[in-house]
Amino acid sequence: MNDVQSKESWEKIAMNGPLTHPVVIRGDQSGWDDVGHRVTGRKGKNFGFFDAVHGIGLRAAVNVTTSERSTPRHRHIFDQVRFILKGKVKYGREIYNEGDCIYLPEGVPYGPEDASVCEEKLGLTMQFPGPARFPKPHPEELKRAQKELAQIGRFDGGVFVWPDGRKQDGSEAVTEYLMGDNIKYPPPRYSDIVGMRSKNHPWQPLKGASGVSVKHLGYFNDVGPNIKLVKIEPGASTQPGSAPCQQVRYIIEGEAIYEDERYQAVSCMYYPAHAPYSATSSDNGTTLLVMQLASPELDPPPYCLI
Amino acid sequence: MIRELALEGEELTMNTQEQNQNASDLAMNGPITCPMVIREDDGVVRGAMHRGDGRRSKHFGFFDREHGIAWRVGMSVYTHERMNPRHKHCFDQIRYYVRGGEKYGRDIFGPGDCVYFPEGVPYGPQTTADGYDENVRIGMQFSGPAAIYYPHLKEIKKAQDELSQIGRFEKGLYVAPDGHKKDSFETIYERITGQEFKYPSPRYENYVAMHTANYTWEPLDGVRGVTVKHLGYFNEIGPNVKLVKIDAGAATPEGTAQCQQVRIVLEGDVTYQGETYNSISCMYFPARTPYLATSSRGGATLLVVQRAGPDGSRPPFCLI
Repeated sequence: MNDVQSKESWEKIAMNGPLTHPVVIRGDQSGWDDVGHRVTGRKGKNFGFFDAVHGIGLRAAVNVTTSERSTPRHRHIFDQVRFILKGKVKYGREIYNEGDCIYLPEGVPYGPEDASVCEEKLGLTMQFPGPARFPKPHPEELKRAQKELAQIGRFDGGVFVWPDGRKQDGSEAVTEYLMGDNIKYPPPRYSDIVGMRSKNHPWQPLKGASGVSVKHLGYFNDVGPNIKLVKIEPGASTQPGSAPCQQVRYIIEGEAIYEDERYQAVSCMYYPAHAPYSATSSDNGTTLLVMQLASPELDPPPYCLI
Repeated sequence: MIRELALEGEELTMNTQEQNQNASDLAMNGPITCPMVIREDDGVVRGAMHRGDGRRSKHFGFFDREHGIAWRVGMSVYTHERMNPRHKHCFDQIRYYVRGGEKYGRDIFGPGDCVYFPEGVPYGPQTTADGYDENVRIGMQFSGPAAIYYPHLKEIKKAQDELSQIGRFEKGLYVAPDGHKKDSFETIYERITGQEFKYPSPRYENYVAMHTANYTWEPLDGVRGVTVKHLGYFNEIGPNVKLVKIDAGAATPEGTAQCQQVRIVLEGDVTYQGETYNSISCMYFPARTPYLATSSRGGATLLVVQRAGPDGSRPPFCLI
């Protein structure tokens, strides 16, 4: 994994499979791009993780959003988790700041999103099938749909404008184009997005792992997401293991060591369900955002298996 | 179908209370060293409290200071007379709507909605929603993650009586003789503890409302005829909130949990230790205390709320 060739092949595996073992993708590599149908004010990198053969389809990304970005109030057929690393953002009347984690459940309208509250925001986004199990399209499919739709109408400030002037949420237009049908949103399980102020959650020692502590932010639905922050003190490490669920672990602060490789913030780890994973250690200390989701066979995450 | 709630006649209910003095006394004062089940008719009736008129409540329990238990579980009927200003608490709450509708700011919650109110998070103003004469809900209050002292109803009542001799309670506020207004619970809490009231830092941005009708029933591993809706698990100590459906003739297993549990019979009937209980009845299982199977002859739905035991042992994700 030290040479460029290996790094590129890991990135390809993360985006297309086969994902049969843990992968770790660095955030400082190539692949930062203007992403998505909202057109302006966002640049980001998709870490992964897609493998249709093994039933894996979730988008884990890091994004820089600038103040000109705005999106209309809308909703999705999938679940999302967002974490703000730097800056702030406004959804409707609420402003979310550094360290805030937001769960945006399927079918729940949110926004409008207003990025003008700060010049630049650095954030993490994860999108994945919610309890209704609508598959999350691959970013390449979304890009293709966006390109083809742009031949028909135009994207304008997060909205798609059809040739007859009809306006539709950009994400909805892209999704319907891919599905070839009207979207039927899943009935919302929650009345609103759930904002978790991680700074106000205390660190709790992790049983059996000296020097490792956890903030339990929230566990939603039978399939997750089960969202936690994990802090590894200098010289400490998490346990190796194997979990019945899928896991995405973002390195959000410091440096983590996995299988003798060093990874700086922001890097992203994916552990497939039931696949053995190694210990994660740190020489100087690190903080991880850990999100656990049911396996493709729908085995739920345990409450606290790190 | 949840039957009409019998909260109309305090006199009638007091007779029932007398017959079941022991169960109510134990639930409200301890010792609580074994599972207990309180029928709706056995609950302690209370009228309006410090928020003013427009509320009738029954309290199932559960208080036992010696064993570290302080968990207020009750059922209340609210009418339009009641209007609570926007406020927050130093404890956690769970509310489950049985009938009618209640409005919180712009949100309206009705039957089947379950709302988690985390400590330190402001909510409201709240009132019975337009189009409804009243709203009926199950309420639970307990120490949140900040572990701030949760007072007994008797302590609240005593402080309220004492404060009423000095100033007056008005629409959820306490008005001191000099005209100074303060949230009524803050005033009562300071009277009880003799300490300045401080709110814990909110862990969540807002309350979390769960539309339980939109969740799917998931089979409970290894238990035929029992299914679960996993609504949400918050903090490291809970609450872990679930609905459990027991089909006719089925039963939940006996067991022991490291956490405390309240199980409210929302619909149907359950049988526990040879006794049959209808909706609305309330079960309390202390932490680390063996409990028996709960069966149902005609089918039942339970609201199950689990919290860490007094020693801090947290609820497993799904132990029913």
